[in-house]
This record gives sequence, C-alpha cells and structure tokens, in this order.
Amino acid sequence: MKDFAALLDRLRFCPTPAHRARVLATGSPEAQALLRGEVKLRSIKLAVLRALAEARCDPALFALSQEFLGDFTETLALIWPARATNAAPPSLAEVIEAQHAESLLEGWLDAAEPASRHALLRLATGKIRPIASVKAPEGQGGQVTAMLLTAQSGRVGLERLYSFGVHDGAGLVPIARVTEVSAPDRATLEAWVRDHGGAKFGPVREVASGLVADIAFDAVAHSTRHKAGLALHGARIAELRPDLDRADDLATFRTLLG
Amino acid sequence: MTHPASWLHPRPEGLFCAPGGFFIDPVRVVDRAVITHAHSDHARGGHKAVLARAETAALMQARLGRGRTAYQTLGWGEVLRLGEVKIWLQPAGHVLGSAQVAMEYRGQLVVVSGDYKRQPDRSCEAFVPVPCDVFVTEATFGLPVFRMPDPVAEIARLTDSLALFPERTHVVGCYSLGKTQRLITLLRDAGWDRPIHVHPALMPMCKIYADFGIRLGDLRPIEGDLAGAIVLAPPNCANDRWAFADPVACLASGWMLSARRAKQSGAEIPMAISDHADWDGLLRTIGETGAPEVWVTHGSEDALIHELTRRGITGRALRLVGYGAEG
Ligand SMILES: [Zn+2]
Repeated sequence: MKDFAALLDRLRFCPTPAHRARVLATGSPEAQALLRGEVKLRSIKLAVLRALAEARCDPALFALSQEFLGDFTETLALIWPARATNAAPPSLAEVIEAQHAESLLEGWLDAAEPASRHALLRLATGKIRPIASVKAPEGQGGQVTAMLLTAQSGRVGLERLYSFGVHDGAGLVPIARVTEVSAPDRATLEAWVRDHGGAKFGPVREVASGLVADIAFDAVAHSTRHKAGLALHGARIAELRPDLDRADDLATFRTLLG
Repeated sequence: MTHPASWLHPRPEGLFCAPGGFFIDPVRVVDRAVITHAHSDHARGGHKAVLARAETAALMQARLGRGRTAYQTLGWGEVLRLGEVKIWLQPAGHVLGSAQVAMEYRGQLVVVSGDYKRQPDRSCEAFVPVPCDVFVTEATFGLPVFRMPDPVAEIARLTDSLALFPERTHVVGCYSLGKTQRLITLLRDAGWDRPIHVHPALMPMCKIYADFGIRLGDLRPIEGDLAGAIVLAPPNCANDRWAFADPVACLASGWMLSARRAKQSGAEIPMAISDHADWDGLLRTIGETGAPEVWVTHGSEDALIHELTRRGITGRALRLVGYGAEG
C-alpha cells in the first residue's frame, strides 16, 4: 500500500501523459491495472467513514482539522489515531481481493501509516480516477486530458455543448463534445467562457485556451469523419484540472490506443 | 513565588521579561533583545544589544550586516544574570544555533522555545527538553492532522524521481536558512555525493553552516550541464531565468502535508519536510517539560489548547503577531 500511495503521489502532479506513462510503468501489476481502469473496486459509503470518525476521533479536533484541510477523507486519513497492532498494513492486492470489506477497513487504517491511509480511503471512496491517458484499447473506456475549445448554446432550453481538444503540432484538434456537466463544473466553464470568450460563429463561441479537464469516455473508435481521426463516445468531464495548462498530445493519445 | 504571568508579558514589541529588562524575538526595534534563532521574523535588525548563540549572531550579521548592534553570545547552558533574572539557552533543534530561552525568577522557571522540532537533523543541535513551570511554545503545525513523515522517505521520493528521469533537472524550492542546509545533509546521508547546485541567495547561509562545521559537500552555482542535477532555489524563483532541462519542480515544506496546499504550490514533487514540531512533537515535548501551564505564541492554538485541556494542562493563547509560518 505504501508503494501504491507513493505512486499516486508521484502521478498526481506529473505534467504530461508521457511522464505519467513512465511513472506508471514503475507500479506493481495490480497498481497499473487499477489505474488503467481495468480493475474496479466497490466504494464504501461515506456514512461508514463518518461513523468511524465519530467513534475514534475527538469531534472538536476533527472539525478544526477538516476546516483547515477542506477535505473529509484527507482529514480522516491524517488524523486517524492508530491503535497499536501487530497486523501488517494491507497490500494493494489484498485490498482489491477483499473488495473493501467494510469490516476490514478499521484494522487496515490502524496498521497503515498516514500516506497509505489516505490512498486507502481514496480507493474506498472511489476518488482514484483511472488516470488520464493510460492505455485505452479501442472499444474500451478511458480518460484523456483535453483543453476547452468552444461553448455552444443549445437549441433546447439551457442545454450547453462544450467541445474539448488535444494538441496536434502547434494547434489543437477537437476530440470530445460534452453536454452533461455538474453544476460546479458548469459554473467554472461559464466563467471561463465569459472571461476568455472570443469569436462567435452562429451559436458557437470560441474561447482562449487555458482551461484543462480530464475527459472520461466509454469508448474510443477510429473515425475518418473526425479531424482527429478518432471519436470518443460517452465523453464527460471527470475533473477540471486548474493545475494543468497543457492538454494531451494527439500523437501520444493515438499510440496509447494501441 | 511569583506567577510568571506577572513578569513575562506579551507587548506590541514582543514577549517582555520585566525584571530582566529584555524582549525575546521582538518584532520592533528595542534596547535589549534575546534572539532564539536567525529567521527573519524572529531576528530583526536594529536592536541596541542582542544576546544569542554565536551561530545565530553570525547568521544575523550575514543577513542584516553588522550595523551598530552589540552582540553578546552564550554557550549552551551558560547562565547569565540579567537584572534579577537568571537566563540560559538550550538547543531547540530548529535551525543552526536555534535556542530555547530558559528564565528563572523568584523560584519560577519559564522556557520560551522559539521555533523547534524533534525530528533528527544533523545540521543543528538536537532539542533538549527543560523541565519548567511554564513552557512557551509555537503551534505552527498545531493540528492533529500534521504528522510529518520520515524525512529520509521524503528525500527518497526525490532521488527515486532522479533515477526515473535522469535527464530532467530537479529544482527544489526551499528557504535559505535551515531548510536548504537540512535538505543538503539529508541528500548527502542518502548517498547523493554529486555536486548540488545552489541559487546565489542560498549560498551565504550555507557558508556559515560550513564555517560551524556542518559538512555540506560540493556546492556549486547554477551553471553547466544541469540534466539530472539537483538545484536548490528559493521557492519563488525556482523557475526563473535558468535553462533547466525539462525541470521537475519540487518543494520542501511541512505544508505539503495538505493536498490542497500541495496542489496550490504547483510542485510536481511536494515534500513534507519541516523545521517545526508536528502535532506529536508538540505534545511529546510539552509532556517532557512537565509544565502544568503552556503558553502558545502563534499558529493553530485552538486545537492545541483544546488537547492540553483534555490532558489537564492549562493552555493560554498569547496571539503574538508578526511571526510567519514558513513551514
Ligand atoms: Zn524559525
């Protein structure tokens, strides 16, 4: 678990897909499979974690800590008052095998050190997204890091359509169209369109590049009808990435398609 | 017996010891200052007289120039009488020369710890607990979520990355006094014996460490082939003007324990390495002093005082202003 926590930390702020691919290759087979989205883990309900927090932590200290960190899972991982135990911390393989059996979680938290606890709880709450731009064989889902290109007013009521692109040489080519967006993401997107909006072609407004998002998709297929030469199906925003200012490269993404 | 609250007061200038006629780490210019350590928020320029460790005096003079200040230095445990107060210094383990100030007046012993930490650090003298009636502590990391990982493991994240990306320059943001030299000693102890490239702003402090016998190995300016090199630079200029090869931005600070702070820093490798006591370090230290009363100078005092109350220790927030949180 410690190795997996270190791998997550190292991947977290990696600047490009090529760098991420090199880091990922250092992971164990289980870690790589998990991060490629080939292995799915059952999520533990937040209520279970809240009950653990209440049972084991001082409420005032927990509240002050969560206020500072701004994240419940992280707070629980770092504040956890571990009881002495002879049990070894769980390996990632064990965690995958057990499918997060709720009854095991408390013991695991006692046996692990803070960084591993955080990784464990991120796994438990489903917060580890397959990572962007790892191998996504044709016909399967995956993720790509892409740049917001245009926003289009929908014909029906308030529906909006956002297009995202990846780098191709000096320019960007469209790769995904997204319609269903969560309210907070939508607010961020609209603020960007308002502040960085450019030329308008009919209902489509171009925006200055700079807003990056991880786009999850259900399937990818080669396509001659699209400029990028491939089409993503079921594209949606996995996470906005204000920490990045560059999207993936089309060439890299293509090679990752295998 | 005279309760210390009647003779040691927070004032706008800093903590004032009335029967001794001196301030500890004053943030404004005063006649007589006792300085715990040379960080700029604790050691300001312009005081008439300064009492400190020799290392602190040297670091202050390098930073502030000699000026007109009269420096008097004290050995560890060497007792001096100032007015009606007996005063001596004990190591605080924070940076080179960092000291706790112990004061005895009418049978009561107060220890002002300045900034301190309990992790091993061969770039300065290790903290020595002093049993006392009142312990005055910082609380920079005074929340139970702050438990610093082993610094050796944090350094391994940097050296592992160098092994994986031997063509990239690893640029580590760190403060000039303390963090820089600790990183260097940690890297040397981890077996990194190649030159370490150091930003010009960090070099004068390194030189003083070397003068006081802290071995830092081969330090060079930022020049030549920097592929696969380690460069240390102040956090705000880790990326200017130098032609680094596909740089890996790293940052060494206790605040990197917070995922949000780590993300805000923009560092590819955020390393949680701190010069300050973490939560366990604060509580362990308070326990070892045996002090029934603890005053908290700055930081997250609410959580610490809450925990002390649970443990039957009287906690008091001094809320001294002007002290930073360099982490
Ligand atoms: Zn300091």
